[in-house]
Amino acid sequence: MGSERLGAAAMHSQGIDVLMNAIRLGEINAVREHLIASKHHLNAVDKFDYSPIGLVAILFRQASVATMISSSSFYHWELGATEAPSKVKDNKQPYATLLSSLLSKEVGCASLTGIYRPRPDGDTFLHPHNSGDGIVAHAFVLIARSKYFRDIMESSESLQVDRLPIPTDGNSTLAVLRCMYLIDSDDNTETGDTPDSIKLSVYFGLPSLSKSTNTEPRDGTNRHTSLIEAAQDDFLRLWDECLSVPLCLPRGEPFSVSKLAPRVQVLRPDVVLEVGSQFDDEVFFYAVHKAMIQSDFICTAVRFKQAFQSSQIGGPTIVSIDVSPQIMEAILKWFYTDMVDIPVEAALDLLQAADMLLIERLKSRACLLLTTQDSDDLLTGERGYSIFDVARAGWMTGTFLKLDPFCARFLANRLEKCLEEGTIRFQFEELIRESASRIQKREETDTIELIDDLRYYLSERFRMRFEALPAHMFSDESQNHVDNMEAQTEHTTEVLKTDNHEYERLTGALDELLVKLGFDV
Amino acid sequence: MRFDDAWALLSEALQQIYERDASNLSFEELYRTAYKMVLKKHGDPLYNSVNDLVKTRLQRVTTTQLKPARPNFAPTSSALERRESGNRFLAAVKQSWEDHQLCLGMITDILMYLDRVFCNDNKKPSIQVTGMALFRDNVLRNRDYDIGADLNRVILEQIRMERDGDVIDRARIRSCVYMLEGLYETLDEREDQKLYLTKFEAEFLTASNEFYTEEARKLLEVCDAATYIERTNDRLNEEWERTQSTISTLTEPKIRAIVEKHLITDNIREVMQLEASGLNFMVDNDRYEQLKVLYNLVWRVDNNVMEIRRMLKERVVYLGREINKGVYGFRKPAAPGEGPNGEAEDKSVNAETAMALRWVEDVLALKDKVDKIWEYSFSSDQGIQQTVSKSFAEFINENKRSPEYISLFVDENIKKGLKGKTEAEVDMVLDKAIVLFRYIQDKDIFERYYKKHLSKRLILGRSISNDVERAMIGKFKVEVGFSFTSKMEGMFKDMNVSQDLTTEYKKHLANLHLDNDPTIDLDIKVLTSTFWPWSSMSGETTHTCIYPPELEKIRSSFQQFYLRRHNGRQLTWQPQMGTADIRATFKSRKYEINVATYAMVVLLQFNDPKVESLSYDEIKTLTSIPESELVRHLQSLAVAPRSRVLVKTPMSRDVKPTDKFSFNAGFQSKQLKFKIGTVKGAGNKVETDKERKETEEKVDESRAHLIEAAVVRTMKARKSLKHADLMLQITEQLSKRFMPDPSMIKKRIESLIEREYLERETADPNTYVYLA
Repeated sequence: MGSERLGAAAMHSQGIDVLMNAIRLGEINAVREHLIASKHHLNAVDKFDYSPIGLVAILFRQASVATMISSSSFYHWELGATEAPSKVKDNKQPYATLLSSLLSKEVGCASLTGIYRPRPDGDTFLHPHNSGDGIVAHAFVLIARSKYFRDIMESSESLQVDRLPIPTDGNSTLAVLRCMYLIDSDDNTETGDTPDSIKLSVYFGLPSLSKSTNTEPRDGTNRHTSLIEAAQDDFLRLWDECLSVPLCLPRGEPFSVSKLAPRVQVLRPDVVLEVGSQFDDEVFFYAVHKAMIQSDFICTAVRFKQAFQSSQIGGPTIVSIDVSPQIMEAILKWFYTDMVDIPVEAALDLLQAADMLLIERLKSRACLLLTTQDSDDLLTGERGYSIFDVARAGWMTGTFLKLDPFCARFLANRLEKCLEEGTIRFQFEELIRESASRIQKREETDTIELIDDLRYYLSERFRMRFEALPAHMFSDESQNHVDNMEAQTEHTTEVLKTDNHEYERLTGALDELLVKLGFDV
Repeated sequence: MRFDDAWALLSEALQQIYERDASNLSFEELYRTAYKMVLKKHGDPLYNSVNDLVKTRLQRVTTTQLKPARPNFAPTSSALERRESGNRFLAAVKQSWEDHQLCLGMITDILMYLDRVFCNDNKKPSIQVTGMALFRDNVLRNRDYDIGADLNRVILEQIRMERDGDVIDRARIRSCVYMLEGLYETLDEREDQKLYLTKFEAEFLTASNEFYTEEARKLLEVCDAATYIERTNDRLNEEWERTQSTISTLTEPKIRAIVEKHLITDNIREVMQLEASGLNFMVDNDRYEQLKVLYNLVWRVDNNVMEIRRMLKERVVYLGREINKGVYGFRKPAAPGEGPNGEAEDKSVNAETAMALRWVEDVLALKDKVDKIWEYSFSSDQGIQQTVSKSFAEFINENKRSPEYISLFVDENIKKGLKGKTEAEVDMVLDKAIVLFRYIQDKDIFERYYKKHLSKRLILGRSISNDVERAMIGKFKVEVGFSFTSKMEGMFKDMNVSQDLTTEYKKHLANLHLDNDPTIDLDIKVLTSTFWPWSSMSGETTHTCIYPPELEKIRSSFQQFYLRRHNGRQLTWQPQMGTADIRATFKSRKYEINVATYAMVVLLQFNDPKVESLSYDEIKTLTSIPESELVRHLQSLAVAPRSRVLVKTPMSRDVKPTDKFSFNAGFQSKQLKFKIGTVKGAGNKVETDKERKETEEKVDESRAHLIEAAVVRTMKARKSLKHADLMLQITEQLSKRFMPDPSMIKKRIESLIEREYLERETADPNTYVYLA
């Protein structure tokens, strides 16, 4: 089976076998293209019961593993927002922890940076009959997660949500709340001390709890994941219906809570984010909750301002944010739902905003989004940003460890175009100069990082093709082989010669460029 | 964006923060400004400018706020003045520190991006860390005013005031201490580089060392032991509290060590030895609380409390010897011993028995006392328990008669019909006896006495109950094992078997239908000779007796019955140990009399109406009862006033071979049933000197056997052994039962060599070889 046939087949076939063959032969481009075209195969197995990721691990194809891991995470996170539960294990836990830590002090949130500490107390009291002080919860969580509370909010003018649908005890109420806040309650589902929890969850319209007690408890991980997904759906609805619509006021008009829509007021926002540059006529106000904020900047700003605000009457703290409404909305949606929903064109803006607002976790997500792009227009910047912008953003935002390899690989694969005279070449040279200027800061190496990476990916690009050739072609006995191999061998030898020539030409051109720029080769 | 413009905006804002006028600042704008400066690569100048600003500010604070508040250390100033000026200074330091922290916090917030990105990328210490170092260098170590030294001095002075009993403002000192804990010598902020540790603590410890050296001297001079330990305890608590409320808890172990060294380690021995109030006084007067405090103090510096153990041992042994003294004091006048002279000796034996019991009770009382102290005051300390055991063992074994006394004590308490004691109480007393038993070294001697006493109880049926006896033996078994009790258990077995035997014999007689024979109820006890302490039961004499025909008949009948059942055994009759209930008709009426078997045999000689009177020699010939026994029984039948069923002529207290005896037909008694005891009491008493000498000989004899057995056993296993090793092995093996005397072991080895069990190795005469 020759590499040519394989490459062609990969473009047309949808079958897993094609993908697996591409992996076996190390056709990294074919693998990547296949994955982009149809992600479903990532979790499938072939007739030998191998999964693609398992196979690359066995064959130790480094580049393929990297490709697969990055696309698999991307694939999964994107899908998590919609439906299709994936078997790939991804990290939804920080999001669940964020929510859980609101209700339970036992939930540690040390791994989460940029969240408001101490975790904001609830604003709503529930009164089970045997619990004197009542149980405190957050109105926006109740409303997001339960139809019962949503209905009360909509009908009630007094904003009272402390009525419970049935008279019940504190333990049952707490058990249901724990479920709403995604506190893993595997141990507490015995109905011994929470007699009404199932009934209550039905009243609250919480399918997850009642279902979870019925389904087989064995698949704990799966269950936990689907519980988190249900919560994401709930918060997505809350976002779409209430929070995503900002209050829009003409510049100069002061903000007040009463101007917010009633359905937003009922959520008791404690922070309002003001967006709009001084050149705009209108200013947008997003009502949000400290509880969900994961930005060190916003948290610190709120704390800073509240130090001077304490004497005044409560009310939300207003923080102005210097980003576009589009980016603001993407960030807030991510706060509430853990979903990144932004056109690729804005990905770079998202990364920069996340850096300015000190949101570490979102920075990685934005990088992932950036590194999945692989079309030639990145070179020209027709999408709103170019590959050169990406590299610079990586250096500026401290995400170069993620972005540099992507940029180097992208450029290596298109080195021919970079070396052609023109604006692209000009930008390419600029980038090399900037990378060289970064050496001063990093004492351990005196080579230009970008060039090192480029050489590596360039050799990778060609080495892959050599390895795909049958082994006997490199041995002396190849002449003694059976006749029907000969035609093919001749053909591949031809390809090999061309490739080798091409590789030498490119490295030579790169060296020339460096000399021209005044660097040692 | 120009750096100068941006910095003008920021520096203006920082000044406002320092002026406490920050409420109108726009946090977002300031943050954004700093953010942009970093993006535009102005991070370095920004970082430096901010630090300069903070530095200038701190220098001004030192000059304007701290310098005027510097304390007055003039020796002429009064304590009150000094305290007030110190307080003002502490307040000023505290204020400047709190201001600095607050403002630095706000600056750090605004410059967050600088910290996160610029400092991180360029590996520079954060604004916060630099700010702290600036405070250290420009305030505490200001070039012109040594605020840090002033601070140490004021804090130490105030602590000294508090130690002397004044009230000080702890919270204020604490906040200054917190400050020293929050500052470090270097920018990497290593935990062991806190200024508190590097600059303050050592001075504090030196001052404390001086204070407590002096304090210890003063206390020792003026206080008695109770006050001393109380003060020490108070000081320890005080210093602990100081580390919790005034200075840092980090210092706790160090200051504790200082107080412990000066007030406990260096002096406690002297305090405990104070005559009128020291440890001896506390023990003698049951000062539980004081002892408890004392124990806790000593325990702090020595978990083995060796000092207490040493003194306690001395005291307990002393008190025990006082108890022993009673025994020696008693023995002395009787020591010259005028021979076995009847009544006088009896009296002395009775008195010594009472004294023996009192000795045990006194020892137990001492044990109770010491135990209470041990439990309450010494927290049931294991080491002290060992010491107590050793002390008791020491003085108990100094009294060579303790095994006998303790066995007598058990006998006394286990005897039937003791007034006012329930079985549970008896049990408790016996448990205590076991405790004393544990201390006895010569367990074999105890065993000997115990068996003697036990045999008497069993044969005379004097035990409170079989269960109690068995329980007691069970306790011995737990203590020293089966070999110690096997013979005692054999004794019990004999008693049970005999009971069955008696019943069966009765049935056997009934089957024979011997109606015409006079009915004699025979209650027989067949004793296995190896189980019972033979010699002490029968004395040296062989017991012979010619039984009158009616008795002889039943004796031989039983003998036949028994030997038929147990072929090949030998029955030896022990008439000296039995008793008989006889019915005797006198002129006035019939009486039922309980007499010894020998007495019965004597009386039966007078049963024939033809017999008028018999001389002593005649009786002796007729009965062939050993002389000593005969004399005693005749004394009780014919001399004792209340039971004079025979008449002796001439009437005198002694029995002489020429005396004549006749039936006293006119005998009268108030009771229908009574008992004629032998002259010697039936109860267990202490031994007379003569008996004791015999016992000692017996003990030596059996020890000799045990030693030989042990030597042979060891040599058989080892084949060849050095002399010293053999001695060690033997001593070890036997020490559970008694402490073998080395010269005795040597003698036994010699004897074994003579008998060719062992020989000396020709090459090395110090090595023995076993001969198979």
